Amino acid sequence: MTRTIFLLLLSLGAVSVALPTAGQAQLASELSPQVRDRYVRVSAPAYVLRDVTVVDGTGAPPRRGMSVVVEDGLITQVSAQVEVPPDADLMTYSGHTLIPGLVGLHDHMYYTAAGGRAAQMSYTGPRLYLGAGVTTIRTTGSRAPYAELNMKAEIEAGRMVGPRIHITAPYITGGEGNTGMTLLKSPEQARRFVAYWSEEGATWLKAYTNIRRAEMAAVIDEAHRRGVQVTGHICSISFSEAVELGIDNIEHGLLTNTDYHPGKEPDECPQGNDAAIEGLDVRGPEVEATFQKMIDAGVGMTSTLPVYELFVPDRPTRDQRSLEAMAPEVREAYLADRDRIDNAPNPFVSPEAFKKAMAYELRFVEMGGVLANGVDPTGNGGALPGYGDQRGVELLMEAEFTFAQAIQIASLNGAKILGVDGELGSIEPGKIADMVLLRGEPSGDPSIVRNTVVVFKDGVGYDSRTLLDEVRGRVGIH
Amino acid sequence: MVRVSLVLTGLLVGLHQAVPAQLATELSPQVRDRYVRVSAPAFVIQNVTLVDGTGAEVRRGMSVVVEEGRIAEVGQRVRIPSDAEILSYSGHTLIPGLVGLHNHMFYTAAGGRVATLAFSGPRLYLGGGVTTIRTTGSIAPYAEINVKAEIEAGRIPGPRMHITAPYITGGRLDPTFPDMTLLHSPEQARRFVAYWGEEGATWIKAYTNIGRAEFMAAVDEAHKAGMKVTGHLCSLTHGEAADLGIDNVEHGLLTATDYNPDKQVDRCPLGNEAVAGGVDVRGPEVEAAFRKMIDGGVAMTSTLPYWELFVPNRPVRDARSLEAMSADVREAYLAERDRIDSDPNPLVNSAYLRNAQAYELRFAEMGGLLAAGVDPTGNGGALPGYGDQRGIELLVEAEFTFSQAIEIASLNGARVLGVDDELGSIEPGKVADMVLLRGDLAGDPSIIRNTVLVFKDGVGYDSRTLLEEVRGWVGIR
Repeated sequence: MTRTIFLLLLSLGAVSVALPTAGQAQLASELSPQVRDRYVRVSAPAYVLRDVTVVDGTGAPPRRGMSVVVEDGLITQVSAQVEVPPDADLMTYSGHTLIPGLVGLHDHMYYTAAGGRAAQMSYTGPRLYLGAGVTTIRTTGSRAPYAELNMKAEIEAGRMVGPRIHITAPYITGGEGNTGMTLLKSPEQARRFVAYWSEEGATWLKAYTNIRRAEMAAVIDEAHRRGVQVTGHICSISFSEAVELGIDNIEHGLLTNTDYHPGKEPDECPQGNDAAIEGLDVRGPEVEATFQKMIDAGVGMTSTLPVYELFVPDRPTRDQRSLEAMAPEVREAYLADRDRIDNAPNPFVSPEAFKKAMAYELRFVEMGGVLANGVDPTGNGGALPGYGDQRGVELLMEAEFTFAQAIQIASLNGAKILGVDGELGSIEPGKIADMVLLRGEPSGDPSIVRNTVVVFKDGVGYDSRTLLDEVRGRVGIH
Repeated sequence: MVRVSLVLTGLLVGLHQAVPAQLATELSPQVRDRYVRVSAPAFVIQNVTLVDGTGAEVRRGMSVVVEEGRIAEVGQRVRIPSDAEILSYSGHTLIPGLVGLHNHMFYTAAGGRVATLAFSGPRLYLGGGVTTIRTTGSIAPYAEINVKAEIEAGRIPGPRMHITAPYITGGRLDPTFPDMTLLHSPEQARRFVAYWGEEGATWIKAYTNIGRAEFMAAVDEAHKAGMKVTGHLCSLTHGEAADLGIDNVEHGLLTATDYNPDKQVDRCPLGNEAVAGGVDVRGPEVEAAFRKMIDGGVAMTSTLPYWELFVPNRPVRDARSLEAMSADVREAYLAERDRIDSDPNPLVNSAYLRNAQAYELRFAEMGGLLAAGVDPTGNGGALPGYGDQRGIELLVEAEFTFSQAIEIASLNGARVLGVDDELGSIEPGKVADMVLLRGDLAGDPSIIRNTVLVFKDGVGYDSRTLLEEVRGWVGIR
């Protein structure tokens, strides 16, 4: 009796959750005055961005001298010559580049920093993501789940500024420990967990390093019956095993894949995966076997190079904007940790392992895999929301993707994995106008992605500087 | 089918709380070797001053016999079991382990900082003499469920925990506290209670904007599952909540909207502290509210240490607490206290605090069940454990006797939790949760700060080791 009611509620809930992410444009007129007056720079129902270089997110090369027409939150024309709608505002941005709004697939709303600090980013998170050009995020594991559900609702109501949010339930794993994650002890508990959180609004689940196959199989089955998807930062289950169990997406890439560990026991997370990876040929048959399985099953991979870079000695990880955004004690602890890492004889991630992780991702895409991008603002706290997503684009270019490919990975590919690529992820007629205006032209210098001027979500242009200036000194607090 | 097994799980959880002895042999080596100072299966604490938690007069020259985690005998002359270790503590006082009913495992501080206290919380509570806590609302719920499991498995030191689900409230999001569950329907309320009951919560905590319909559904569902409900209320008055079946109300006078002329149904009026602060606590309105609560068996939780933080010119710069804070949290807290001390219109003035104290005294005089808790939130000056101790000092300032204050902070809490058969006082047959304080009672309530040994299940934990570990960590983890 009671169960029937719950199931009915669930299906209603699922419909109403899916709608705002899939199709409703949130026009400037639907924003609260405090959001509109403070952050919005472009609020016209129809406008044309003229003379911009378009990197459209499909992987196509940059096109110069383009105009983009936006009407009622949708992109209606993209061309060198466009038909200007009556009453449209005309904005000429010569010397600027337009890319799709970034889609961040490992974009937590909490933050961990050196020295053991952790903070829910209820204030800084949405400002940093949107201000830096990330218009859609998946939270990919939560600790204070209701804070994230509430934030999504506030943003969708126009009372708070921020990106579109795809809610991921609290982390699930196995074993024991003084941790903020849910420790699943049985397949029944796993099913109950999935049922509850999907009813609360989660559309993704995130499995962690100690989950066992029995609970994972129950999670995936229950999730898929409810139209919810599963990703994982896995270890006790290798990538190949996870694909066989039906996972939808895998986080972090090479350094967490235990497919190549000779001592891997079922349901156990082995020590020393870095040594197993050391001798691995990313162009060899073992890797090809993993990738072929993933590709055949349609399982995407999420690149999180920005968080790994934080553990590699002598990398450019003292981004001035990020340091200014941190609270003083967080900045101090981070810089001390980076000094330690720069002098560490046995770093957590060696420069060679980092390079191999990049090559692994390049190989995955060459074989036809869907690679997406995310920041993962955890670890020692050097990769911040938004700024770290931008760094991801730079690192993908270091991995020898072109700028157009890196942007595709960080936009349209993310939308594909989320299942919203019919509406989002590229600058094409008919799509929602989520776009980022960058100062400068693509010239091989990847740092252009940092020059955010206006971030469009649903065709509403938000002022990047206003959003980013508000968080100074606050990251690590709230 | 699934429901049946879940009900059984609930029963097992209940049993575990009632039969709790966790002997030293069941602790992990890292806990036993580092924190435990008394691990003998049988021991006698001789020649101590005893405040037994029942409200009885202080008794001097007493001995307490503990066997297998339980109190076997209490008297001036006791039968000493063979092989019992003899611990002579003349000049010391023995009180029951404190039972803290508003004892979060998270912390908020001045400047907007929030931290889960998975490291410092268990140490501060246990080291500060608090052997049982109710978490009374959570932000990161699984973290608290896991802390409890780790303590029960003997892998980390800490108090017994009664888990409270995440906060429930209604209406629009409060951006200053964005982590609560916003209930929009009675069905959602029932689903919430059922889920968290299955995850191990035994209490539900309602907050200031809860709607009546959702509250009633939560209470009904909770009671069906053997859980209880408390609240930091505002949209519901304390009298209304009693009528609707609440089990406990938090914070006392300053959150009671029963006396607010601007109170509208299901609405939380602003500025209630000032209205309630001026109420005649010996008048008929208060008597009527208390009569409702007492007749309904509804207890009240005193959180005076929390309110004191907002009152100018109070002794709220406790050196131990300041040392426990991380540097940034300490700085922000001290700046906030400086601001409050020079604020001509503070949120709570000294008259309101006095009136809140008188309100609690009146409630107990009328026969109400008053318990205590720290509430380590607000501007962050009241820490786990230290703040519970401060609560006893403030109850004495409210003109309770030391024995009464201890009863409020121990046995009464156990009564509210429904574990008073086993816990909360130093009486034969009870579980040996006790705190050894340096100093004999001489009308000085600050003796409560002198924790030497904290016994949980008859295992004596070294207070200093626990407390020293947290220096500089509060506000971080």
